[in-house]
Amino acid sequence: MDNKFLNLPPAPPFTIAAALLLWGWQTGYLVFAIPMILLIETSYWVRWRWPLSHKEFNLISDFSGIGFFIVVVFIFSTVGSRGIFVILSVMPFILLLLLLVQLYSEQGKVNLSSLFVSLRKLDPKITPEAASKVDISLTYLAICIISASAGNNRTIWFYILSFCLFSIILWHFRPRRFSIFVWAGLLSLALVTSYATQEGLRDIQRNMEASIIGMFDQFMWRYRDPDRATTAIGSIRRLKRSDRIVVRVNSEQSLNTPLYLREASYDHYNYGIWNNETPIYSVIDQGLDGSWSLSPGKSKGTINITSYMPREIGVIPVPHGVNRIKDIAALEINTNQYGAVRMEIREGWINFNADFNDKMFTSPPGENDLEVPSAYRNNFDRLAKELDLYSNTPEESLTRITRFFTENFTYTLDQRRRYPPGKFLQNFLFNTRTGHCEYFATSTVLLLRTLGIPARYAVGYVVDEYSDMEGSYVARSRDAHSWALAYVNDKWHLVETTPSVWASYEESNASLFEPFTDIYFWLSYRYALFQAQDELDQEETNYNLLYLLIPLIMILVWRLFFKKRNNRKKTTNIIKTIRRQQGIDSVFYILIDEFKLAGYARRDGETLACWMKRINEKGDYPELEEALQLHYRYRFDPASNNNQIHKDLSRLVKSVMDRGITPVSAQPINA
Amino acid sequence: MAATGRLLYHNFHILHRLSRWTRDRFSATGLLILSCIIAAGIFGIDTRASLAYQIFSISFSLLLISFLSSLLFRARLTCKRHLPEYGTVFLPVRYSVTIENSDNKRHIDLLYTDILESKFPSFKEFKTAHDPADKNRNWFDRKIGYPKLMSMLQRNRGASISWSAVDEIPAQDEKGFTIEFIPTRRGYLRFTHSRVARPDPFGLFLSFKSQKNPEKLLILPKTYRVPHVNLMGHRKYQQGDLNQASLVGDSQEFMSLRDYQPGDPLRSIHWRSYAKRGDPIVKEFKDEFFVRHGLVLDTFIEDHTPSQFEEAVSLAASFSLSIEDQDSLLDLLFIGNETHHFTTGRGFGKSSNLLEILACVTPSPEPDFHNLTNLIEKNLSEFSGLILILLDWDEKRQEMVKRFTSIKVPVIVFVIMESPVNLDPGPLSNHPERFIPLITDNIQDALDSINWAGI
Repeated sequence: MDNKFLNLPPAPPFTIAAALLLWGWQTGYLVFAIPMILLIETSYWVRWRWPLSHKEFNLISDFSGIGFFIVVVFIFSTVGSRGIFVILSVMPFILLLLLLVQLYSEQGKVNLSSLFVSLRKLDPKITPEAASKVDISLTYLAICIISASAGNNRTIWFYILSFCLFSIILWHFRPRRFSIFVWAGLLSLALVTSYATQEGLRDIQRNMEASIIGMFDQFMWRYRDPDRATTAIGSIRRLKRSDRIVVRVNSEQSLNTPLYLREASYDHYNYGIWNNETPIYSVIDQGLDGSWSLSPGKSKGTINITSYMPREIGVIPVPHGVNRIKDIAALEINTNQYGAVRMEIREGWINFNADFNDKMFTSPPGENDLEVPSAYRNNFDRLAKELDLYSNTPEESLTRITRFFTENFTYTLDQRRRYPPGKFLQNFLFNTRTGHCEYFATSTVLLLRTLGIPARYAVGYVVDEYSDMEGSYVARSRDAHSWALAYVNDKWHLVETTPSVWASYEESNASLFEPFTDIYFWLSYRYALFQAQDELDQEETNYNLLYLLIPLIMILVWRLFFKKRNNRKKTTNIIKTIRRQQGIDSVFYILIDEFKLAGYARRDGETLACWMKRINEKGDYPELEEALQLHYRYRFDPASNNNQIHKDLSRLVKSVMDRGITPVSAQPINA
Repeated sequence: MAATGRLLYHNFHILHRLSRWTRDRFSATGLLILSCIIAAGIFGIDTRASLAYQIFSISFSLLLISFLSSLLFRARLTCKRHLPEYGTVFLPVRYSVTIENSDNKRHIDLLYTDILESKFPSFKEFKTAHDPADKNRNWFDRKIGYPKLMSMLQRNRGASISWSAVDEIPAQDEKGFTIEFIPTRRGYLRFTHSRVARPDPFGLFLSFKSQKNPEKLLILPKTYRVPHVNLMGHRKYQQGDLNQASLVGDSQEFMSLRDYQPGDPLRSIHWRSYAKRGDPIVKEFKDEFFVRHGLVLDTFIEDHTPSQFEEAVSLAASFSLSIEDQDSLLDLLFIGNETHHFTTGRGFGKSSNLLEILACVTPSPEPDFHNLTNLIEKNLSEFSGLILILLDWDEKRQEMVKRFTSIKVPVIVFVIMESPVNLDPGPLSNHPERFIPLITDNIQDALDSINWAGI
């Protein structure tokens, strides 16, 4: 019986055309969609029909099936696993022939057994499905809508148009017993529900991803994909990273400035994901001395890096200027054009020496390095105009952008507000002005690209903590960081726009059990090294090391409980004793202490520049801005003349102190 | 391995229930939307990679609203079905249904169906069953067994009654319509419920009104054209009274008069002699001699296929119909759960009674030739000849046939086979024309080509 509720009815007129237009618009196949629409819609006007036998239907169905198989194999072999969405997007092409055959055949329907080979040999008397026929036009329409979604063209119009198409179908096949008002009311309810559902689904994914990444980060070793990085931009939650020590660095010279170890860099951004669309890996030949030369040129220094390989092949953290890897028995080392160094070696802890120089190891910029996704273009253009960046030289732009972010933005790991897709960066730039390093680095890259300066997004670790226990610099999982690379004056530059408080902010979130976990990490690291050694040379097993662990543990426990442990998160005085860092004796700290005593509280995540700006809101301390600049130079610029800076800074600080600081009770802070 | 099989079986059970619920509850468009949910759910699992999650949300919300609005179906409807006395397997059965609307409002766009009892096969049945359709299935389907299970379920149910559209039932009125279906097995079809369905405002989800309405319909086996078989044996004395013999053979041949004995039927009284003598005198007729055949059905299915057995039953049914207008008796003998012996013909039951019995005959899993032979031998003195319908021609069966041929009982043997095999007539080598192998796919042609006169 041909009842619209029992058998699939044919698609309402022009709905397939509408679905194909939606598909063409979303996937970029509009040129193909139009002739397809003509072919399909003509069938409703032309009376000519083709007499097709059951066997011919079977043949055409088989042909479509084989075509689908070939397309799947081809796409997977060229695009890889991400090809699933390419396959989805070409489904209307693959099924078009079958639909046309149905529309132009005398039967007007397709035998179910033509679609399912398993039904062909069955007796229709016993299995009635074997003889039944179906109209595939409505199914084709649904496939067009789902295929359109593969275009991932994120505008609200896709949702609206899809809903409209569904509504037209439902309107066409609605039962007569209900009034139009009831139907329309329920449809409106469905509209609201579906909108809320899709919003909720996006949030659920973000939160789940974040939780899973957090769990992995906490309990398992993280694997860095050199071709794709999923950021937490848009996540509604508090980011949490573990205290696990993941990188150890030994250097002959003390680190005066934080050391940036890069793992990968990316050139293409879209909705929270950075990736490289066409990474090309080239194998590095091992030299006769056993070293792996990545780029020509003399080395300026060498650092020893220890990191963990969660798999046999993985990315290793290296300085930006790395030009040689040595003292490691790797099976193979290859690099991509974006400077990621991938090593094939056994799993576990690895230790190697990396020579480096001033020249950043990465390819010259390409077209992708200037690409700003259309969804963000207007926002960054607006920002560039607001900051009057178009009239600046690239060097000036870099300075102004860095100042803009460090002075006007605050660092936070907490994101609680919800925005429409693609609006997170807009809100970060213009409204909230608060976020974590991925927001800063991504925004910097896109802003630089808007100005025509090639830029890339880099990820890795910032090594800034010295562990007395380990006798080396260490980077924890929470020290994972992202920053921007800008190509100015024929040279790549590291651009750090994340407020400098990020490291201390991360530290303030450290676990109470960090001292204990540090011992555990160190012991497990030593044991892993011991095991690795044991495997390499079983005959010469050094069992003494195990016995040595016992007194060592005792010493550590003593240090933990009876002696203040060296840690920079303690007071400034303790920092001074631990770190051998430049500029730690800056007189500006005296001024900071005085302001604190006077009751000027510094907010969580507030940069020094923002804080000073707030203190000097009424212009009571005009020296502050210059003093802060001098302090930064004294503190972080290794090339500066420290004596002169110290003199000038002391003069300015003295001037403020002499004039006196008004206590906060007399001058309330704007909350 | 057995554990895997059992796990699969239980999964199939769940899958079947889920699939049944889905097919029952969703309209065709609803199933399409459900498919959209599944497809969009798979492709939209990563909300960053595509917009399929939006399609998922739309489809999901539409079905959710459909489902919720379907809960509001209220109707006072009474369904009556009018079934025929019998149906025949693989032939359309038509019956009428009347739905009475006791509401003060009309009902439109309704759907109606009848629910048949459908026993889900046990794991043992599933494991041991042999599905003839398996030969047409691919390796995977045969190995996994889900299509076989569905086929068994379909066989247990006996028929598929599809939904019938009821366009409108006026308020306080009734509407009648006809349903047609094709039974796929013989035996009783048990109707349990009458079900009326109403689509929700979107036309995606169906809400039900089910009414308990138990009835059963006997589906007779299919039959073939066969002539009356005369095995050219001897007519045998058939002990019985006039009731059985009055119109058969020599029953009207008067022999003598004798005194009335208690129990003699009144119709035998010779009234003239009674009037002369004053004591009742009855007429005595010559004893009855007429043809009586034994129809032996082999129910020992062993490792033979159900289709072989079904064809054997159909052949037996065909022979039982062939005696309808003949002056003879036919005794059906077979072993089911116990020994069965039914007589039909003059003065006994009609052939339709035999068909009813054959409609319900089930195969016997354990071969018991000893009992079958005893059953036949016990009645052999009354039979003019034997028609044996066998599922195989092995030693045991040949031995049984040999016992009857050795005492000169005319025997005709039909062996139902799945595929053609050259068989030796064995004990029937003297009468090879009475040894007839039949292939399941081609029985009618084979029967038509037999020279019955020569048998």
